[in-house]
Amino acid sequence: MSVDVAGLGDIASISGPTLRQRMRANRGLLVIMTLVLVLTTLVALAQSQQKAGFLDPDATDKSGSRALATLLRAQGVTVIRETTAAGVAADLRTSPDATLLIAPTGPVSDSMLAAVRDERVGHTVLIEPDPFVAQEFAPWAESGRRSGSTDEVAPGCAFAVATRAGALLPVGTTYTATRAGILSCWNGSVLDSGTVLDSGGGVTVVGLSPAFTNSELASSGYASMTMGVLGRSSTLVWWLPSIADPLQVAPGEEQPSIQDLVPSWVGWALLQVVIAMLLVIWWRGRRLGRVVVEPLPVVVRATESVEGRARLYRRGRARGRAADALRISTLARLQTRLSLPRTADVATVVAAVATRTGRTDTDIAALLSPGSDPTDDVGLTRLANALDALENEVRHP
Amino acid sequence: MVVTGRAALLALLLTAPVALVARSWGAVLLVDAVLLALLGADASLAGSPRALTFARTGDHTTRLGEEAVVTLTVRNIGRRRVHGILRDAWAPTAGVAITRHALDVEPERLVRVSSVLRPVRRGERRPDLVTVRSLGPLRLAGRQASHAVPWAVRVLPGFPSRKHLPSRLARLRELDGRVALMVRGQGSEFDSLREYVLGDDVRSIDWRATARASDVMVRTWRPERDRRVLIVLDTSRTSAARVGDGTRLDASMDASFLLGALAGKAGDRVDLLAFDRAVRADVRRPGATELLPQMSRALSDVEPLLVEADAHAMVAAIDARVRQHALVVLLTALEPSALREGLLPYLPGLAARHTVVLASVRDQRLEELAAMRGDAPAVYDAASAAQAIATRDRMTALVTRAGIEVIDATPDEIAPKLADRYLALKAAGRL
Repeated sequence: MSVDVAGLGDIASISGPTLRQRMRANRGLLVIMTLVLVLTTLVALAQSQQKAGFLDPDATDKSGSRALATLLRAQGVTVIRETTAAGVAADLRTSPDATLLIAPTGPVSDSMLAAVRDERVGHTVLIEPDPFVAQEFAPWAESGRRSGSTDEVAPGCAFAVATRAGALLPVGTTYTATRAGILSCWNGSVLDSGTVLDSGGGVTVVGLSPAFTNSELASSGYASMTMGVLGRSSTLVWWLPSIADPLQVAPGEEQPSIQDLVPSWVGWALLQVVIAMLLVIWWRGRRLGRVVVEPLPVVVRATESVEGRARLYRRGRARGRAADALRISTLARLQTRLSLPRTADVATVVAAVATRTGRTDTDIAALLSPGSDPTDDVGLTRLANALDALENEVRHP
Repeated sequence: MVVTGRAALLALLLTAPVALVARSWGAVLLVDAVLLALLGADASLAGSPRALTFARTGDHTTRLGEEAVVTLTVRNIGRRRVHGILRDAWAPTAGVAITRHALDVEPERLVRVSSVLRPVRRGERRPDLVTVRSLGPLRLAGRQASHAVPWAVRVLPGFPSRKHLPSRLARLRELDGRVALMVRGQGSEFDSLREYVLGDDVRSIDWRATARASDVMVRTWRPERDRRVLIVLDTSRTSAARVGDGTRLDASMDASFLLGALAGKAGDRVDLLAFDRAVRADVRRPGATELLPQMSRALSDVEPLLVEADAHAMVAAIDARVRQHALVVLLTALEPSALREGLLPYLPGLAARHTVVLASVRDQRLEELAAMRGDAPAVYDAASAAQAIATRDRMTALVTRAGIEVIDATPDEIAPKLADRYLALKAAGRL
């Protein structure tokens, strides 16, 4: 549509491409983007099958414990992985003599302990327990220092598992027993209550958390020690306390949310700032007219092929060819300089150069005649410089 | 509808009352509804950017390196004042430094906006759309529309070798006999008889005329006039090579302008042909004064193409244009592969019918590469360049043997060298 008003040009309305046209024009791009999306989803799904997590009996990464769990299952132990206190309690109810492992993967709250406390347990294993857990299950174990010994240590106690495992590297936390009768092995890396306790089953405190991981299980005497500690009964409840446990907060109580912590006006202010930002987007997003495109003529660098061939020579180590090219060009220039015909052969040029410069024939022939090709790049550079020097001598004898 | 930074700033300033006083959904909604209404009202009060008419006036042609001014006349045919920004968009190589102009035009008034073009490329430069953003009285929001206002500025190729023209014209006048230096051999065409003055060559005395007249008469000679000169520009892939500041084709055009201007002044008839696989530009029998403008115009939008030249068709086109003996100047490249597959087989035949000059723009970088020393990559470069130079020299020898004059010169030198060769051929009477 165009209207001519007062003889002053046209008003022509301009319309851009429609969404449909744009989709059609970018069909290839859309297909590629969809493919990439599908592929990344597939890869992510495949990776999510491989679990990772510290001391997790299903995790196959370095800090996981899949290896140990598999070994235990091969020995006929049923390993049950639990992440909630309620689940642990249910498991212990069904198999009262089970061994309970508490891993240091998250905080254990009062209400979680309360859920587990009343169940009967065959044996309890604590791996580097936090003070709260230690207070509950092993008040007689006092946390010591981190042990970083690089020498293997003998068990030095009467604990049957320890004597079977023999000497091992004590990496982790050491504990001190504050009650008589507790077996302290490997300088306090493992404490075992033995039969001293009156209530329920025994408790073992293990400070060697690396011993349970996939990467370290095979080293030192760790496999023997961990299997001995965990394989005492036919069922093992493997508890990985988690921050997401619903029992982290006691029932009936509610955690303060972030909304309760910030003043009420912040939300409204944020809302208004977001609206202002939307206006900024609107303001900056609208172009003053479309982008101007322009087809440009083709320009090729003239020496492109020459430089390409040079790189090809270099990669192919074609020093012979390169040397020949340099010699031939020097020969051509010498012929002109010495007023020799273009058809003059190398011997003639050599003789003429010899009389001009006073150098020996053999010396010049070695430079100019083909055959003695340089064996390395340094030799080629030297040849180029020697040819230059010779030409200079001819020019200024 | 468009909004300005002021609108966003206003929305941001409203944060304080919203946070301190309002603090409810209804209040926020009310505040922002008022803001939006304000924006809408401001936009609707802005003068309509569609109710404008445009016309352009100004330069239609310019030469590369010079300026052109194109003026856009804006007329407001709406009822409201249009106040805002106008963008007169041109292609980037048109070299328009300022494309955005403040616009303020009352109803039924005219405003002129000038764009200064400093083109960086020859050919036809066209403007893109004219976009007007008209803002409301509060400058919070406005409306925007684009208009197509066609125009074209033809950018003629540069003629940097123009500086060589006066000296070459002086040489031409010496040849032409306008300067008292009449020696036989300066031309072969008989001009006139005149009285002998001291210093004239005794060999040019015309004895028969002397016998008839009472004085000793000498013959004067002048160079031939009305000879045909055909300049052929090769626009195939070898002309796309960047040599110095421009492409090989740019330097070739410059050389053809100098030769054309010179030959035109010498009274020869100059034709021009740009060819790769088909005719790209064709100038036939221009008038003496129209020669340079026509050549510039024809070559202004000729660009190199990445195709191999069709030598057979090129020679056929040459033969169709010049039937009698002529000076054929081939502005191409001494590129061994392109020449051997292309023109080389046709050159002897062409040289038998015409006087042929093959002019090629040389790349100095090749010589620089050949002189490189230092580390291994440099020496490999030098070896490769030396080989390229050797093949080029062999090619030159081969072409020369076919009876063709070869000029191989750098972009700065090719134009004067070609002009000198033309003068030498003219002096020798070989045209």
